[in-house]
Amino acid sequence: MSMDLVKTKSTTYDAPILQDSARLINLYAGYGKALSTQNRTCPLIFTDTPTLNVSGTSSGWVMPWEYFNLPFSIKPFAKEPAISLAQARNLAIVVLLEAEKRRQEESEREARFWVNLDGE
Amino acid sequence: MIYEFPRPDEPICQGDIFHYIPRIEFDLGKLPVIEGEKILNKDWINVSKINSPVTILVAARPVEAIVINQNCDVVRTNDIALCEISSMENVIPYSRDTKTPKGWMSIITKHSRENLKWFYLPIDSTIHFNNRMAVDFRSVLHASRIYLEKNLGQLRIGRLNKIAVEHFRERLSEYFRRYPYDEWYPLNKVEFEEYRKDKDKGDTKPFPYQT
Repeated sequence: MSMDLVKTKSTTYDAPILQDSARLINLYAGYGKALSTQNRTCPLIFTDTPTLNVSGTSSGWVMPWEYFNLPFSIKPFAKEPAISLAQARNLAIVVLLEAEKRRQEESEREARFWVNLDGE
Repeated sequence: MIYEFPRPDEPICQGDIFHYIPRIEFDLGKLPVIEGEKILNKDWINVSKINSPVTILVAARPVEAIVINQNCDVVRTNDIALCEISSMENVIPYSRDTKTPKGWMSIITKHSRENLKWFYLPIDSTIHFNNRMAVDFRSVLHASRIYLEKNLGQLRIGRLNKIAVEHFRERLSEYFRRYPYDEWYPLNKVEFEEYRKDKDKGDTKPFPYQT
């Protein structure tokens, strides 16, 4: 199969340059359909980037995931690190404080706009 | 001034002011999801694919807030929608430099007509507002109606009086009725160039008749 594909970037959405694109799209659409209903853990699917990766690695022969009309947000191989309760608590508090900081920055930015307007 | 104090058995109304309403924040890209004995950092999109409830560890801050549901909805709805109340300094940062009555008059009247994102709440020790406060329409919260009703005596600290709530509901509706538009659309070519010199932050694009 790899003979039919031309190497492209795995981390972008660039359309691959294909020697016989129509045939390959049909071929991989068939794979995609089967995988979407039967076996989403098939190693042919690499979903951390929205691509189909024939070589099974993060670079190599790839096709845009969107070709299969499948949700590209499924990440069966994504690593979800376990954290301690203390880390989780800390993360939650940091998220709260950062959100409040962003909100305040937005207010400051808007305030500058209205002050400028008042000076006209 | 503009506040009144309903008895605990009076129903919740638009303009009721509560304290200790939780404002919850979480990062959808890094949710601490509790699975069994483990806590995993997960992306919400992955979590949502499971299509069943999950337990997430989040942080909450108790804040003051005002009911924005109209009165008929308040009677029936499961969740009450409220807008956060914060100090004027937080909501309108430039107000911190305001010292004179004339300055405050300008902010409270003129600025509030132009900038529709907030609603002014004056100082009143009876409601424990020891600073000038403002409703921030950008921050909408939800709380269980049943819970609020059960705890009105502890959570409701007052309500806007009749005249204040009339102004409040008008401002509230104005805020959500707004829509964006390019204010330079009626300027002629020369006026547009002046506008661009004065205000352009890189996103001012002329209409065809302004080039």
